[in-house]
Amino acid sequence: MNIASSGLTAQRLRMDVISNNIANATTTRTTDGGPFRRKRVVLRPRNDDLEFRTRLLPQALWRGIGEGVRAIKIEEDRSPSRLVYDPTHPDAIQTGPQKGYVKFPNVNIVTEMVDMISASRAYEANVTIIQNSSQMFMRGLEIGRR
Amino acid sequence: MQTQDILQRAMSASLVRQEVIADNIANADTPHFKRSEVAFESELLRALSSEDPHPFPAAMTHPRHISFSRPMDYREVKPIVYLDYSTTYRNDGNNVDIEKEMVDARENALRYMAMTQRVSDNFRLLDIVMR
Repeated sequence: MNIASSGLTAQRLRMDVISNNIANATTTRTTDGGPFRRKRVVLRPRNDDLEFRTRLLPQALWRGIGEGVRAIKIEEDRSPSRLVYDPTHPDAIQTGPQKGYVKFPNVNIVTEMVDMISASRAYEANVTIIQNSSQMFMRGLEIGRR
Repeated sequence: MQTQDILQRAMSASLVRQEVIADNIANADTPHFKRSEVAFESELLRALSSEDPHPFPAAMTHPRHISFSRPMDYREVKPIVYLDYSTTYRNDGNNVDIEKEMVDARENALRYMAMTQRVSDNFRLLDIVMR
């Protein structure tokens, strides 16, 4: 149950980050300067020990029961920004060969929507596991009851 | 009471399996994650069937001869968690198939419930005998 709840937390965080991406899909100026950049969540298993695993492979195959998932960081997508020609925009580039273009965030709404569906399905799967386990525990408690 | 003991062991293995499946599903979107599985029932079956009441006797005329059948103790069978490292299901190296895991989880839960039912029934029989 604890493991499944770690999955819930991770998927919820993914959902929040995706919402943030979509909400900022046309934000052309941020506090760091430049357009908004798409964020994404980096997930890792909770008991991951890559160093150990690659060096001593046979032991790595027997790693016991996992402890769930955790989001280690929220990373910026470093792909280039989308350029749109709009000289009247306040954030339009004033000089150089790209004069008149506006740098829009590298957020692709379609990608975000697909990620969102994937995150919500994964969330549902974790919920189902919690229901399943709790049903098991309830039955276990019923042993010996008449 | 051996049935009760076996059932209880199988139920603990079932709980371990539930945890492993939960871990697989929690990591369904983790890059390079490999799913794990629990092996228990097959080993238990092997141990139980090795306790053959009428074994075919081997003629052992020398102390270093080896008997045909070596009985295994079922109490030494532990659920083993092993990593399914050889397959890849997605581009990011992950090999968790959510559908399979969901079906496994459900099957495991139903199996567990069936076993709790058996344990309860055995206790009920015992109760009847004691009255």
